[in-house]
Amino acid sequence: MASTVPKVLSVEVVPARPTDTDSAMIAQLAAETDRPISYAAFIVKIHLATIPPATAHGWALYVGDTRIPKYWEYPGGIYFKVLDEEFLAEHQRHALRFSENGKDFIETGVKLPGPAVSRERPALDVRRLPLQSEVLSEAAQPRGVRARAARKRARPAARKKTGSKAKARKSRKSR
Amino acid sequence: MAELKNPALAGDFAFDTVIYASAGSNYGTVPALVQYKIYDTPDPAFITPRINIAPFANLGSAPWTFANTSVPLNGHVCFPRGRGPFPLMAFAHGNHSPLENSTPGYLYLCQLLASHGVIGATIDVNFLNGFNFGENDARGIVHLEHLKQFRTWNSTASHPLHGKVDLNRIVIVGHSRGGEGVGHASLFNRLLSIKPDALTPVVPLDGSAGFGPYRFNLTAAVAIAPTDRQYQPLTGPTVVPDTYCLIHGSRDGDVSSFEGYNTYNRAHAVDTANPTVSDGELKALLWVYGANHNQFNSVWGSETPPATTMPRPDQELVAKVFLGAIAQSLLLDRSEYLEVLKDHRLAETWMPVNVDLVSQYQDPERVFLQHNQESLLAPQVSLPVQGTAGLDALVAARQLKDLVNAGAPVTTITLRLEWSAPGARLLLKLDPGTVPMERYETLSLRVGQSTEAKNAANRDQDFTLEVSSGSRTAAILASSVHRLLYPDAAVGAGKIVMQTLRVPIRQLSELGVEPRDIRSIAFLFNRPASGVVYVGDVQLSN
Repeated sequence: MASTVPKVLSVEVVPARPTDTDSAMIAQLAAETDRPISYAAFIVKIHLATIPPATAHGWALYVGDTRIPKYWEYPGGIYFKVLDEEFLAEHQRHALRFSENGKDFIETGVKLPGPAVSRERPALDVRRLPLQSEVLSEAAQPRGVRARAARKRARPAARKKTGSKAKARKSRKSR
Repeated sequence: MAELKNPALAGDFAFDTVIYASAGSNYGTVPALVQYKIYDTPDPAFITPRINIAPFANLGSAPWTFANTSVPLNGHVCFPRGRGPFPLMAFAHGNHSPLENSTPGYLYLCQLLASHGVIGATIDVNFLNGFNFGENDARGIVHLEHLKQFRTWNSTASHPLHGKVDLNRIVIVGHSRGGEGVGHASLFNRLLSIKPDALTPVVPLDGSAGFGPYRFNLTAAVAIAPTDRQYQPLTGPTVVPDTYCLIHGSRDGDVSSFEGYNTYNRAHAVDTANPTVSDGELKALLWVYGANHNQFNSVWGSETPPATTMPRPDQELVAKVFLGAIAQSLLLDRSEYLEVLKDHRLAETWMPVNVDLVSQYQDPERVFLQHNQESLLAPQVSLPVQGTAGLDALVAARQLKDLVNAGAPVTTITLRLEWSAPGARLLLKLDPGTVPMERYETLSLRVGQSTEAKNAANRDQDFTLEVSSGSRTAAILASSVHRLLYPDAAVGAGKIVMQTLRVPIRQLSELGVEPRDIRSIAFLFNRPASGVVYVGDVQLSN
């Protein structure tokens, strides 16, 4: 289906508390890669102007030339989860792009922010991180209305964040 | 075939329909999930455990009452009354609004199957629905976990399905993204572990982490209007290892790219290093003019205007005939129905009036006289058959052409033949000593026309197939075997879906050709005066 490509408003990386399954997978990834990995789940939230309807057809998401294997809907757009912050470091400032076929790409105009924590800083305090459900909860509204609200609030809201979530998002880069 | 009964008509088995589900979902407490309330009160004998799909999937934004660590195994099952064991056909829906329950949309097929002595089940994968992408591996995993549940019931002495599920006769069917999912399920079924993607660690499928062990003896994977490659294994695009059947509509308003054709091409393809080796599995496809995407699911609203699409009852009838023939031939050992997959003309009287169809079929027992996969150079006769390919007033080019606008990189070579005057010819001269004619019953080739200017719009294409042994030549009009339909160009450029033409060797004998001395096969383009066709392959087949 020649559907319209989703319009991206902004992207942010939010460290969140790993679930038990995430923790097990992080431990396994650390073993597979033979290097330490922070116990955090990095939620890459991509704010969309409008969430398209759920159909068979879909748009693959790329960061630079790397295809993001899977992404998921949340009330403000789509997100994917990264358990190894090395991925974020490697792809920092790479452009987010959509493609239907792996050959033709449509630029979203936004780039992937960094991993939200630098390697020089102390390890994340998992207990202070928000739950993933908190990171992904936004007031559910009809999608059309939701898009307008997201467009208006996306940038100011980012500057007004307070508390632990704000700390977690401190190094967020808007588009 | 007058003696065959229409497989779309109800059979003689009485059957029961029950809902199975995991306890505790309490959908009824969430107004948005009201369509799932039916799973709050499953049949008491059919309460299922939950599974943790977190290594494969998150959930979308629908207000599910559970997390991805404890998704339910819900579904509907129609099972015949009687002792059994009965084969199983299990359906999985695709992506759609998660607030609409897509699962009951295949009950019309499950009920038909149950009436013929096949357990029909349709499974709930709605928790993976939404504006998500790449999750079709999880759809495959969920499908396999449902099969595990049937295996458990079959072995549970007190259960109504105890001993009634024939675990050696299972077909998995998926629609849309679920259709892609059955391909992955077919692959995963044989694995002991999988690393789903680069960002996820290895997941055991041997039961140690909750997934598997599977190792089902799958009879076939069937895809209805599937997507392709939305999930990509690290090992490359999924190659379906089991028998693969595919049905797709020319007016599909969602998967308008006929991506499943790429899945079909990858399955049971010729191994150019060992071209005589077959993996022992067949593949078949049915291309349905006028069918759309959603009407294969009885609860999905049509995605196309009614005037542009065949009526829903007609589309459901096509699905019943196709799935019914698959069930009869592959699950119920009525091999005569395999002829329907080999040649859809046998089903003409069962189909809606005036529906145009194109079909392809590849038998597990085949040898290629020409498969075209050697290179993009001039056409040739394929080894181990010895011979030459000659052209007369014909422009021939082997191309990596995207015949069906599937979009993805094309890896299958097709031979394009263009002629501008009557008498053009492609001549395959064969060394009869290298043609194992005695082992096969059919000369089989795939040919289709395009919307290119040399083909008259909305007119069938035609040519003469000439098969010679010594001084005797049999001339057979392609149109006497099958119509070579003009592509449905109402939407987009029109897809080139080749038709398999199957000419019985017996027919050649009756026309005076000595089968053990076949010396040439020619495509003679003598009418119409000009045109373009695409040739997939020429095989000897059973």
